[in-house]
Amino acid sequence: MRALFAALVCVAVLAGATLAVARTADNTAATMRTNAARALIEGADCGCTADVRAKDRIANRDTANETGSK
Amino acid sequence: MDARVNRKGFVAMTGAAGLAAFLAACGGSDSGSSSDAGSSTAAAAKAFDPATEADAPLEVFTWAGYDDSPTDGLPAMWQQYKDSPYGTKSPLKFTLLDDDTQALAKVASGFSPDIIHPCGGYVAKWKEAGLIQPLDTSLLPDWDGVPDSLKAPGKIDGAYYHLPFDTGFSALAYDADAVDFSQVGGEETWKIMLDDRYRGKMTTFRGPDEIIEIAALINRGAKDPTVLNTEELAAAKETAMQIKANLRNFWTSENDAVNDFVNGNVVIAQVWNAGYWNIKTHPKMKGRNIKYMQPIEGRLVWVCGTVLNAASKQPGRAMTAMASIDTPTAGAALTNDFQYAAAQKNGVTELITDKEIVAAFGLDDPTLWEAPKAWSQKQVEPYKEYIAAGQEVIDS
Repeated sequence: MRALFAALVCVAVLAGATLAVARTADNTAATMRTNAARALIEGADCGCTADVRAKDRIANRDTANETGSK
Repeated sequence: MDARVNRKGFVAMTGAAGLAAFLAACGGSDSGSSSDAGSSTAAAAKAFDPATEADAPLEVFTWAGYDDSPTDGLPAMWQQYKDSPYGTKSPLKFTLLDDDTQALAKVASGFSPDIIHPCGGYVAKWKEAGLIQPLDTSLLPDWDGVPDSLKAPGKIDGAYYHLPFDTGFSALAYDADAVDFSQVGGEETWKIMLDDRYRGKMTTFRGPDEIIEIAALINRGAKDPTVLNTEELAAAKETAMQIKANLRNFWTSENDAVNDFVNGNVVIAQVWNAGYWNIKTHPKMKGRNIKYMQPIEGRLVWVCGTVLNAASKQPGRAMTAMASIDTPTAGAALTNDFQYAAAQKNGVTELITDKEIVAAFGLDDPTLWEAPKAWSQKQVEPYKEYIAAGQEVIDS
């Protein structure tokens, strides 16, 4: 009985430790992936700046809505 | 799910692995069980079956104006999908992205939309980061209506990673009553930007690669300006410096370029389709002969579209949603609402309301979108040096 209890505790501790390590590893991986992606796109500006078009698109649509031309 | 397991497994065994290996292993390799998107070798597209996938929202990471909102979006893009059986089983959920680099960083750090909307110049980076997988083009009934030139930026190692959707030219709008090409050969050419008779009366987009691309077209003629060797890059930088000397400014909002033009501050402006259209149709330009240059070296073409997340649990339904934006109806809405062009070329022009736009941009002439009349903007090479050269010109 005592051996079974000890085994259960052991399994629980191991499972907890494994989960903690996995979570830490996962967070570390996510951070590293983010940093890696940032390194990959450092200075990136491909000229196809959709963000510029998106802002103009919305501004023009707002203007059109305000003036009733759309 | 697979990506999560891979990350854990990978981190457990790594520590010494380099950045490239890390990206390849963690990003989207899904080794053993699924995609080979992270591989540097040819990646074969897998066949997906939307009918066997679990019901859950389908997440779309796209630009403002491209969601399904009747007031702020472009609902025609997504209507076919919403009308399909999956429209209710896997309803669309939209998140708007701010810029290409932010989007890449956000997905790399764990945000996992099924569909993402990058531009052609960034697709290789998404692939390099292992975040996307090849498209199953068999689920895109209108795939053949997209020209190869627009598919090129998203074709990597023989597989297609990018469904082109929105596209347009980048060229010079000019006042034909004020600008003549006699000093630069008599034909429409990018060389007009070197003509100091118009010094201070020109404006161009503040894009480091774009200014080098223009300079390369001037130097080398009608050749792909996105790939240069060391000598060509140095020469292009010199030419770009000469262009800069003639500029009034670099614009960061196309609306600023339009305003500068219609208020007489410039007579030559590098703009996209909508910019030209807004200049040409502006009340202050009534009676003026405003042209959109078809240079002998070719126009530049920007192209954006959708990619499939390597970690998507609903790749088949994601492809079904992508099929929706590839339709003629979706393409026509893009022109009707924003004066852009659709990557889809079949059956679109008939649905465009304003036929003058069709004529103005040659939307019914596929040859205008192909080299040597146009050059699709893919990732420039050599990347770092190319961007650095352009940035140096802008900052000088």
